[in-house]
Amino acid sequence: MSGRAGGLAAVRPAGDRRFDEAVALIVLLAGVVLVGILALGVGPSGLSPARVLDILRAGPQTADFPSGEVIIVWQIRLPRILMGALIGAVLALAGAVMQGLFRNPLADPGIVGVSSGAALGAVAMIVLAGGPLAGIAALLGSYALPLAAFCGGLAATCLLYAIATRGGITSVATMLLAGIAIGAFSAAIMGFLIFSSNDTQLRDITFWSLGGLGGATWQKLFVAGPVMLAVVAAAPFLARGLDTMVLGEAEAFHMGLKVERLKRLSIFLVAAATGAAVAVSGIIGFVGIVVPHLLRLAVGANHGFLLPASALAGALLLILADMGARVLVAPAELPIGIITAALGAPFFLWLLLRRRDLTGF
Amino acid sequence: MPVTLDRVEVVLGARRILGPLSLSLLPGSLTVVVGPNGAGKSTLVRAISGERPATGGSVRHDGADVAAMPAARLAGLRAVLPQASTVAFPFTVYEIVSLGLRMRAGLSPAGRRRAVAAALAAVDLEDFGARLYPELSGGEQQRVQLARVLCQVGDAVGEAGPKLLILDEPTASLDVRHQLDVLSIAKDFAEAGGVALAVLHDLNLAAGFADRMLVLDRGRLAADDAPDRVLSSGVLTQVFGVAMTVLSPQGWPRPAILPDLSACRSAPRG
Ligand SMILES: Nc1ncnc2c1ncn2[C@@H]1O[C@H](COP(=O)(O)OP(=O)(O)OP(=O)(O)O)[C@@H](O)[C@H]1O
Ligand SMILES: [Mg+2]
Repeated sequence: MSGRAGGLAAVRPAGDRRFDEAVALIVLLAGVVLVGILALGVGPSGLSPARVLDILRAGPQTADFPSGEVIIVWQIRLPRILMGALIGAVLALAGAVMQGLFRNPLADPGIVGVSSGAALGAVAMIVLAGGPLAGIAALLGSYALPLAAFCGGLAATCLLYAIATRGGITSVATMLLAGIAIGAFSAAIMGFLIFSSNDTQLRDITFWSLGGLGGATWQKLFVAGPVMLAVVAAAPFLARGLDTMVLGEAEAFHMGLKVERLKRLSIFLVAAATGAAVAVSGIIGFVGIVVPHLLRLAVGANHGFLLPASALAGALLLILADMGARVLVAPAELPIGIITAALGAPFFLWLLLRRRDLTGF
Repeated sequence: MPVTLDRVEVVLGARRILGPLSLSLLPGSLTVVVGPNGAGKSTLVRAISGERPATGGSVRHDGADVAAMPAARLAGLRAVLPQASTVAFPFTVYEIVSLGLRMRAGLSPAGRRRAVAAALAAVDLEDFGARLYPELSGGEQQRVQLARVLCQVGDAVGEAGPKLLILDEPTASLDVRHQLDVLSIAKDFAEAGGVALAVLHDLNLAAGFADRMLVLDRGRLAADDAPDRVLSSGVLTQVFGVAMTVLSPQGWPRPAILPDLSACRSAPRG
């Protein structure tokens, strides 16, 4: 026993957590699959996991099951759950990348104004679709809103980058402050747009801004899904660079990192992730703050682990939150943003207070 | 001729912060830079490491201009110990130190483990691998950083020739025993054929370990000589504005230096 433990210790030096990280990744992956199957059965008409699996295996065109059940699983819940998983994954990833880039566990796309920019895009489209943007709105149909949100998020990021970057050097402090300014500015314009909107537009804005997966369809999934999948696939390539950045930009340079390139890639990734997520489901807050932080506390901070684990845990969290949204006030549905904010905001405050003890800021 | 500075100067706006100065750093010797706050020591170190290239003149490493070298190639030639490093995330000591191996592609997993273990042992932190870096004391953190830097340089002489080890105030937060340890490490690195450069504020440590001492004053080189000659020349008194007595105790290999305490504003009485 002790010999065996000694042998293991020789292979795994103290402080090397890669084994635990691998185990955690496998557990998370299994969790996503299990909870996903569970979630497919949960709702106004409940189905057992076994039946869900049978229906999944039988395919979307099957006649072996009541067509109502097939439609619920294949056409209603599956796209919704896949969409939720992808959105959770990219939101958590965006948070983890942003925190690594800013070397601050409180950083989040919501904080640097990317979400606000996306929201502004969406609100502008809702309000102006009846006026100046009518032509574009008619042309794009149901894609108008998502695309506008996506453009708003990207514009905010580009503006942010232009302000915070001087001579190829990005100052993280300037970027955070500029992000706050961009967020406030977006909110001001949004406030004006809301002020000048009519009752129907107001209702649309409210529903969109609470965030929700209710409208998820295969069609929407095919539009936004590839972008989000690309984000998930690209993220691991940033891992080693973000690890190095943990020590500071100068040290990262000393260790051979192309710092500016890493920053640009990270910013682009965050913009794409947040833009796509906000476009589809409105603002779903706090996933990007909560998920990476819990993973760091529970397992480890290495980005080679943290990024894929954040994607998985973010997916898990959002599937669960969406399940709650469907079940808690059935037959009505809670906007999912309410659930994540209700869980996330107290957590964020706790984090803030705890950090003050530890590090004095 | 591993590291040569040719009329290096740093001018920011209208202010000349450094230079112009020309010198070479030779393998086999530990060069120590001393000078008052704001003299340009860190600026000099940044120009040499390529972190903030000089605005005029050139720094060459084995003939290649540092300003034009890709970060990855530089990382294989030199390592830099920062003054202090905060890490906001709960990385373990083992993980931080192994970051230093990032650019050393040829190592086997066992070789990496050995390199980390050896570096931790060198800074007297063998049992600290599993500790979380943010929870260490300032001096312990500094030593972990040194271990990481040692992992990055590896051997003092690589395939491409001697490597450069740069330490900016490495002893600032260390106790006396570990101050001596750190400078011994730098000295050993030099003796193994590497180029070692350290910025120090402690003149006795400088005198005790340096093979060569550079005195910087307002961006200019006030002295560049063997430590005992620098000490006896009176240049330190002039540069720091404090009278100093140089002692050569019997049986002591190096001279010691004592600032005149009455020269400071609230001198102890009696
Ligand atoms: N980015 C900068 N912009 C303007 N001035 C600068 C900048 N960096 C350094 N300086 C100035 O250059 C001078 C030299 O700075 P440097 O950091 O090299 O001093 P130092 O010798 O390392 O001092 P210390 O002993 O305090 O570490 C200082 O007067 C400093 O104010
Ligand atoms: Mg300095």
